[in-house]
Formats: sequence, structure tokens, C-alpha cells
Amino acid sequence: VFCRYHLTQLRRAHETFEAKDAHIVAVGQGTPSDRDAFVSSHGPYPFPILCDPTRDAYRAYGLARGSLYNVAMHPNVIAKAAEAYLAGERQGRTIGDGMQLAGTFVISSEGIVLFAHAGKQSSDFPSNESVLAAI
Amino acid sequence: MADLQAPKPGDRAPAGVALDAAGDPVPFEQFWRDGPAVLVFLRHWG
Repeated sequence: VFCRYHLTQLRRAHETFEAKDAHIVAVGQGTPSDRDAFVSSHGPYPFPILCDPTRDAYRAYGLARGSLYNVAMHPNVIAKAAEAYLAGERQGRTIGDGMQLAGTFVISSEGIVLFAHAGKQSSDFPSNESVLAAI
Repeated sequence: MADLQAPKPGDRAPAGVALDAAGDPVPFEQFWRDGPAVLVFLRHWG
């Protein structure tokens, strides 16, 4: 449910990012058909949604698999899951490695990392405000 | 994967490639060529 919740928040703020000339791109696991099925059910999105079947890019960006505790049992996970459900998000069928953790990076036009957030729990993604502050 | 290290602010962005909707590989660099990019790795589809 956290991927849906994060994407919804990014979709709502998309124009604010664009006003800063910043372009959002999201990457998920699985195949293009997995991606298409997800976008059909939860999209559309005003930014590209790619997929990384081998997760080589996840590893290149240092994004690890979490423990069962950090994916499903940590208090932050339970609290944010409740928040997401109250906001109307619903868990779909998991496609990909459910232990994979997320990450958000802002990269300058010179290819330099301006902001880096590697998730520590499944629910851990940065607020749009913190990301926008780095741009 | 415990020894993975995420890039820090100030580091050069790692190279990366992902597939677009047509299944064609897209190098990440193209997304920040014309301005900053917000690169979001999702946990999984679900």
C-alpha cells in the first residue's frame, strides 16, 4: 500500500515539482506487463513509470531488502499503514520482492545527488516538502 | 545486500537503466539532462 500512497502524493504535487523544473520518474520491480497492470488499476500518472526486473538499479542506488520486522511489524509501518488506509489507499496484490525497501533521490542536471533517502522501513519515504526543499 | 551503500548528497549519481512501457531500456541520465530529476524507487507493485 505504501507504493500507492507515495505515488498518490507525488501525483498531487506533480505541478509543484514541475514549477521547479524538476521531473519525477518512478521505478518499480517486475516486468513491463506488471507495470502496465499496476498503472491500469492505480494510474494514470503524469510522470514516467519504469520497471527494473533485475533490480540492478535498486542495488546501484544502495537500496536493500528489509527484515520482516522493518517491512511488516515496525511501529512506523503500522502507523503509516493506518494513515494510508484512512486516506483511501488499499493494498493490491504484491508483485515483486515484498522485502525490497524504497528510496528517493534528487539528481541535479550535472548528475550530482542533491537529496538521498534510502528507506529504513517499508513505510519510509520522504515528504514532498523535504524533497522540494532540496531542489 | 547488507553492504549496499546509497549515494549521498554531493556524490555523482550512479548509472542506472530501467525499462519503459514498451520494454525498451532507458538510461536514468536522460531524466536529469534538462533539469533536476526526482528518482523514486518504489518497493514493489501492490
